[in-house]
Amino acid sequence: MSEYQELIKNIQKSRNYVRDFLIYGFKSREDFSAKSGRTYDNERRRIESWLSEYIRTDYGPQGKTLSLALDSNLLHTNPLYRVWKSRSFTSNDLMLHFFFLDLFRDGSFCTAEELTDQILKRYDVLFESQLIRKKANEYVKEGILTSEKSGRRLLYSLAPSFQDKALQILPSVLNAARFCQLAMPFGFIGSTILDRQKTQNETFLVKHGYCSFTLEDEILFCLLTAIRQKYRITFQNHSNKKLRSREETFRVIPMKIFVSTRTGRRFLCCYQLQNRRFTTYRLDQIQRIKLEEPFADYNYYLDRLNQNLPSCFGVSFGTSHRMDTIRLSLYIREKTEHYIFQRLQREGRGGTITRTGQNTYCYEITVFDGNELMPWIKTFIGRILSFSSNNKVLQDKFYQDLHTMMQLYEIEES
Amino acid sequence: MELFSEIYSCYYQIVDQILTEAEAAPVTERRMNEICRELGFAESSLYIIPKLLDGEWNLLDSDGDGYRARTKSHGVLPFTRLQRSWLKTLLQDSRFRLFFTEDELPLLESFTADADLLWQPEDFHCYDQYKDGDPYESPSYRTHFRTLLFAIPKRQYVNISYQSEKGNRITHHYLPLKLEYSAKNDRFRLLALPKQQRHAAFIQVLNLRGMKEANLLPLFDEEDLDFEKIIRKSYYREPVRLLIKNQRNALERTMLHFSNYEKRTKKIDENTWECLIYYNRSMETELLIEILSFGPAVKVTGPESFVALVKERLRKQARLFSTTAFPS
Repeated sequence: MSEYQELIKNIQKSRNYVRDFLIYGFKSREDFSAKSGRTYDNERRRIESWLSEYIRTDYGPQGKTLSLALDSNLLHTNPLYRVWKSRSFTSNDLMLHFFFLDLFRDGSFCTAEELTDQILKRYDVLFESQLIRKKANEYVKEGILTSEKSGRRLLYSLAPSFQDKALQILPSVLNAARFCQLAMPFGFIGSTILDRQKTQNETFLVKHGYCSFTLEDEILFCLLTAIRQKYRITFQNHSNKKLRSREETFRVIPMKIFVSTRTGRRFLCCYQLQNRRFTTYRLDQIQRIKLEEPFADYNYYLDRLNQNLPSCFGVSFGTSHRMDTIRLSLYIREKTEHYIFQRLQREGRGGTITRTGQNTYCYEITVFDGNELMPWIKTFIGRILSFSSNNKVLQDKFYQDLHTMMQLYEIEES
Repeated sequence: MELFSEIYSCYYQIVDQILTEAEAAPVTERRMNEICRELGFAESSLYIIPKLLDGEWNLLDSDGDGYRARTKSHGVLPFTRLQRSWLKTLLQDSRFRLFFTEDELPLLESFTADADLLWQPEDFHCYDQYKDGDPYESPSYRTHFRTLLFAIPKRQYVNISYQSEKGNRITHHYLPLKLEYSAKNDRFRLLALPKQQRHAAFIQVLNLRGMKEANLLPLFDEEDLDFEKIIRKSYYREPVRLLIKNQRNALERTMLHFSNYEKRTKKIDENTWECLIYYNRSMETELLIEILSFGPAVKVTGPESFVALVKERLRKQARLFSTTAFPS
């Protein structure tokens, strides 16, 4: 049995536990039945260590539960970036890292053999030159070292950093990193720039920020690589839907990443050759990805997707060939409630808005899946004059939902 | 290029700090523990200190009461390819470019020239972002942004002339505290204290695009200011209390949707969960309509004032339906 370690080799397993503690926070040890109790204990201990100041423990009828208490409105960085700073390493990795930074500091050039000698001489540590060459090549790939041939010798040196004139822009880069680490894709990388300079963000906050997105960044990184290279991929998906089997494998052409700024959810939008349609999968449910081979007709399908996007209200491409048309009539006091009209314009995603009378406006849109509008339409409760759709199921569901809400709050309907 | 790499790990940061100090003068075990607490995880010192002291990591030599580094003066890690790729990719984004003058941009472009792009803007489709985002390219907007960016860390007062969305024009002296960005609104807001109400500690929110002028004043704030305490004070003592029925996957949808708020959830029975959401007045209307969007799957049970807001909306709705056809 392996000993418990604070650091990890692979982020995959921990990612799901951190997410559960943050998003749900009500699950007890027994609810994590997919893995052994010992795995849960180790993961829990690790997460308690990584995120100690955000951990909240509760005791209820179902036992002890652990949650992460984060208010994203008040955070200067995403605490979950700590998960990314927990990669395990060997003693040699660590020593060579600092020996390289010390040896190359004066701008010198060395072969792997010369490095081996220097390390023995200066630090009294003996490494095989093979190991040093391997590490140096790794660092060349990461952009930390550069290598160049001089005759038959391969010389390593430290990669150039901001120098001379470019050094002037470092304060601006740091300010940009302070903001972008909170608000941009792969913000974790921005946080490593701040770590590098031993500085923090105290200027920026985000509203509507969702911390959990960073847990999907490895998946996102892989998907963007596939999109950039126009590759076909295979991935394992772990769905929470009851009607589906828990884990499925899909072979798809990745096209775009759909992002909801209101819920923090991110989706892979892809083309499925098997059933010849566009579809979306939540990034947090994608477990493993394999890049297969370049896909020759990539641009053709990308054009088709771009043609389809205006009819997509959210992430659904619908389940039938029939489009859903929605008509929503609203009562808006023109003198005092211009902001409601503005909401329709800002949030209506291409729907038409027509003034149909004094203080009365009609919003109309035709989309693949009208069901996706329902939550948004309910945000106008208190102003809805009528709702209609060519999709009778949607229309009935809307009125039934409102009827149930009235009953729930004991509001008399006349 | 690796995203999950030990190069960025907090253990490397801790060792980096210990070596930096131990290159200048011997460092005690106690100081090493302090560094572990500052930069590490809760249990990091248990793993790091023994390895440094027993020589498994051959980086320190005992020297009197402390330890001296074997390295002489190790340098800062150069920007990695990953970091440069990230910066290069962000150069395509007008929000990122706000931080740079026209003279600075070519320098950054040159610094990141050999890096790869991690994504193209069109790879992302933010389908529910508001269409009227801030004018990041506008010269006056850029000037105001940079003025505030300069003033905030210096705690320098700024004279701001502002036009609200309702059209009212106001001019005040403000102490700018934070710049708040919302991806949903695609908008920056300034959180600031008006000079006249500096001690009332009531934070005002100003949209950056509403600013007509923002000029630095030769006046600095030197008093103690605990931003989080001020914001926390604005939170209601009683959280919104929701009962969630797990129909149409409502549990997962609500848990994800409200994960940007501080919340607390517990299971009531097989199909019902109670969720407490902590909020303040500035979030109230938004939270209300977010809750309404879940329809009957979510019921507000407290506080009374919030239940009253929901009921008010429903009563209005019932009244509207009474004047139009309300199919049952």
